[in-house]
Amino acid sequence: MLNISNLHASIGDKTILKGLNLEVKAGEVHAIMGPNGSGKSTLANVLSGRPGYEITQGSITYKDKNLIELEPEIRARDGIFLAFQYPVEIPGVSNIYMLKAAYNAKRKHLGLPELDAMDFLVLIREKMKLVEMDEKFIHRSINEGFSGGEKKRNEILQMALLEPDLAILDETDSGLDIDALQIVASGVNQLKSPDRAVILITHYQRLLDYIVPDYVHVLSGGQIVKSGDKSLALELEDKGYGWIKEQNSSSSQVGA
Amino acid sequence: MSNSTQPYITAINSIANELPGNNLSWLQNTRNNALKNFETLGFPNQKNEAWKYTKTNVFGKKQFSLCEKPCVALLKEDISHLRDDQYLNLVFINGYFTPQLSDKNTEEGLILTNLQQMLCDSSETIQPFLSQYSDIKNQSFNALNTAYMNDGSYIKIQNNQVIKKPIQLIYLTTQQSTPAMTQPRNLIIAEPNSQATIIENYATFGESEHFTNSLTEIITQENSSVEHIKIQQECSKAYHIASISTYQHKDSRFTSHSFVFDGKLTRNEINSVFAEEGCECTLNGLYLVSGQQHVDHQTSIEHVKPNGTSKQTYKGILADRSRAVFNGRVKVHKNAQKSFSEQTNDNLLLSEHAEIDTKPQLEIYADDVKCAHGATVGQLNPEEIFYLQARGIGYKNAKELLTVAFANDMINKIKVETLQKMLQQKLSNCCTTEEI
Ligand SMILES: Nc1ncnc2c1ncn2[C@@H]1O[C@H](COP(=O)(O)OP(=O)(O)O)[C@@H](O)[C@H]1O
Ligand SMILES: [Mg+2]
Repeated sequence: MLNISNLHASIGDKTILKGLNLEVKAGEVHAIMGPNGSGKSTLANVLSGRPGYEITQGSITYKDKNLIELEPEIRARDGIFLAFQYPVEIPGVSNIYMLKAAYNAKRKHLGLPELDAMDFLVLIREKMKLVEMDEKFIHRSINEGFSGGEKKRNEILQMALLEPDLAILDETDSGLDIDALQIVASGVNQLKSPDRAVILITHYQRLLDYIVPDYVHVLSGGQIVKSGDKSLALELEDKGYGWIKEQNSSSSQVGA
Repeated sequence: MSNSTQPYITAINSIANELPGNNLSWLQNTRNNALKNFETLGFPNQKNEAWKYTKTNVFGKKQFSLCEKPCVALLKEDISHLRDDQYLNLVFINGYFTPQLSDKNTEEGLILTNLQQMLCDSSETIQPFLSQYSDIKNQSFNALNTAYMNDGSYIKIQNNQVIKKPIQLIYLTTQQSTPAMTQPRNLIIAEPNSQATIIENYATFGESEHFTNSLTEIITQENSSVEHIKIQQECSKAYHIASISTYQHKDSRFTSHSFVFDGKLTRNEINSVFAEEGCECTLNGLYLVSGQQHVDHQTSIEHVKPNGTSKQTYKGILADRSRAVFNGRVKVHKNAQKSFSEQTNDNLLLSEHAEIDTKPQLEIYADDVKCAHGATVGQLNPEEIFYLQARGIGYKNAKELLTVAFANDMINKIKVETLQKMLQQKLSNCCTTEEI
């Protein structure tokens, strides 16, 4: 589904991703962990098409297409969803308006008829139950005055509605208490299917108790420096990232 | 003083004998004084602080003549985009009252008629009010309007009456072969404890150059409440100068909403005087300009007596090479203790060539007052655009959505539902057609 090869990305004159390789197949869940500032959000942003990044080397193919040349909205309609680490507040645009516009944009892209207001309301109510969100939230401005946890749940609501093929969650679990974390996890678990893939960017292995990843990768210094299964996350929690860094620098010394 | 005013003076003199109420000496005096003032003042130039950013030399250059009566009779269907059967409509075509397009007054406790009728039939009831509240001495456009004073509306809401139906004054200018002008004149009196909503709607048929110079005087008597909505949707070749003067008695409430959607040059002046205690004045405004359009808002609130509250909220969206001016003056007089005043002017610049000059002007002579003001100038937030894109909403659409969102709260303040819908439509049209 997604193939990232030798990806180099920079912002301004700062190179952040330096030769990243990652392959994600349909049906898989990949967890990406790594210290602060290692480039996790950069990767998520580059995949979703956020402006400001320059891709200087490498390639990204998604569903056999060159992802790099697609506009962010086309990527979204074609099934890529990014749950933002820091969702923005948009005063004056109601949640429900955006949700309906987003949903219908995707339907149109897929050649399906748009949903009218009534049918949409039925659908969104069902999705709101899933994230245990009160109906009043969808009539409020997007994220305006929402608590941190409410913002994250709103991201999951959008994900549940749009049913992406590739969901990328950028530290959606950070700052959540256990109840909210379980809501996020169940949102992801309900989405999981043989046709879909998930990339979980996380800081804490706690999330992985609820969403079991097929692979765990460690991102450090703009590269994936180590990959493994779920046990790698436990090891990281135990030993910290210093352990990987040491391993990595000693191995690169060996190589040099 | 200046030759630029001469053609206007000649034009008015030539029809002086035909103006309504020309047999009344008090009215003649008022008109003559106004004409003299206009002659002395000339059109304001940019040395005049209040006109620093708005040029008026076009009025000397173009020499707008008085609009002719329309030769084709319009039908109600022709103006269905302006008229609304849920309102009481008073329709003026090229400045002339048009009864066949207007509604009969069905409301009790309301006098709703055209000014000409009043000047001819019951001038004594309006004599104490007419031209008593607007500045004819120093404001040349007010003087020009008063010197001509041919028609407009007279609205009186009687004691304790709450008028449920909105009253709408439609001022429509039709296609003109040469640059022509209208001088609408309105007098609104809200008697004690009364309440009404009044809409002034200015529009054009076609795309010809014309000049509207309107003047509205509003008296809110004790504990009355007037909601005033002004819509400027004249064509992009229109020069529109409008002045509203409000005189507020004890505990009265005045709310003004001003919408500017079009026009080459628009200048809206609002002055309100708190003549007695406990007055409330709320001024809201929304202007959308693009191309080379120019819009100028000048407000002035005089807290003369204690316990007054004034709130001003103006928002602007500027595209292309458009320009906007906002000058909000608040004067708190020495005795006006416990006054509260706040003012904001937020602007969204959609182009680096657009320009806004915004300035609060606070003059405070009392010590126990609360006054606040603020102005912002900004662009659309790229983070917000991207967020919407990341959900599948197209770039252009996202920008439109955010532009509408910026302005929407000004429209949501309108309680008349059909009008709110119409304004929302207008806003969304402006946001999609403007190069954003
Ligand atoms: N807009 C920016 N301009 C310059 N540097 C940035 C910008 N955004 C992020 N960075 C830098 O890029 C590096 C990676 O950031 P990020 O991808 O957010 O890391 P992570 O999500 O792993 O914490 C950090 O050193 C950060 O300071
Ligand atoms: Mg991050």
